[in-house]
Amino acid sequence: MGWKSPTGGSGTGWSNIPNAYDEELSTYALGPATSEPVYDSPVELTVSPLLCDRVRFYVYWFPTLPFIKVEVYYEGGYHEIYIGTYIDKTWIEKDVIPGSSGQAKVISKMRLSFMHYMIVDSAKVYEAYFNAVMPRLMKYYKSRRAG
Amino acid sequence: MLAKIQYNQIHHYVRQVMDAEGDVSNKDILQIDVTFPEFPHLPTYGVVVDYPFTVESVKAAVGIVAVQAKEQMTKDVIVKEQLKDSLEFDVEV
Repeated sequence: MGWKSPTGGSGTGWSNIPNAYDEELSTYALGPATSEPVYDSPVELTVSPLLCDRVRFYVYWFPTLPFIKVEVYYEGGYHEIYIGTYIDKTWIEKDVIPGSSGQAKVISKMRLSFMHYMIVDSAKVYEAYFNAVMPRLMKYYKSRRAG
Repeated sequence: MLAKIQYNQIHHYVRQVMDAEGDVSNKDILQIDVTFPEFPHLPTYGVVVDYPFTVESVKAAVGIVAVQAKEQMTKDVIVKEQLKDSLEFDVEV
């Protein structure tokens, strides 16, 4: 249980995607260069389905006014969990169920899209993780066994 | 429309900003996450307010996001109705 790295990824216009899950903060996946004020092509990161209550990411974009859209995949579709500003090169955590800290879903993918203005630049995704949690029933039996 | 500021997502950050001339400087900001409990299918929205802040500046920023969320919901409802009128939601292709 705990933070799990993705095991695969893809994204149109993205390069070096494995760097987004190599557990190294010195390397990054590079997004497509854009200055359009719309969310660009996302990078999709995959993992074997796991019960997950949060995702976290460490990303960079040039200091204009960066926005990120975070989506996670469960129950047959993508769900937007966060839209808004973010801080460059800072670990940022978001709940899988907006406003419901600790609630989990069986997640198999996340998608990150970026938007900024003014200059042509590319997003960099250094790392992203899924937080795997223990099913409540398993927690109950473990606590009983422990005593 | 009730907006809820998530207590665990209130942060005081210093971020780099670039002005129209391309000069980069540091700026103190308050970053907060807002959810709308009446509409649990909506995502969390991230909002930035200049620091030091006032209650009015926070309310204004949250208000802008609430308007955006409402507009999005209205657009979604319209497009769902349009689809419903012309197609079933499960489409055989």
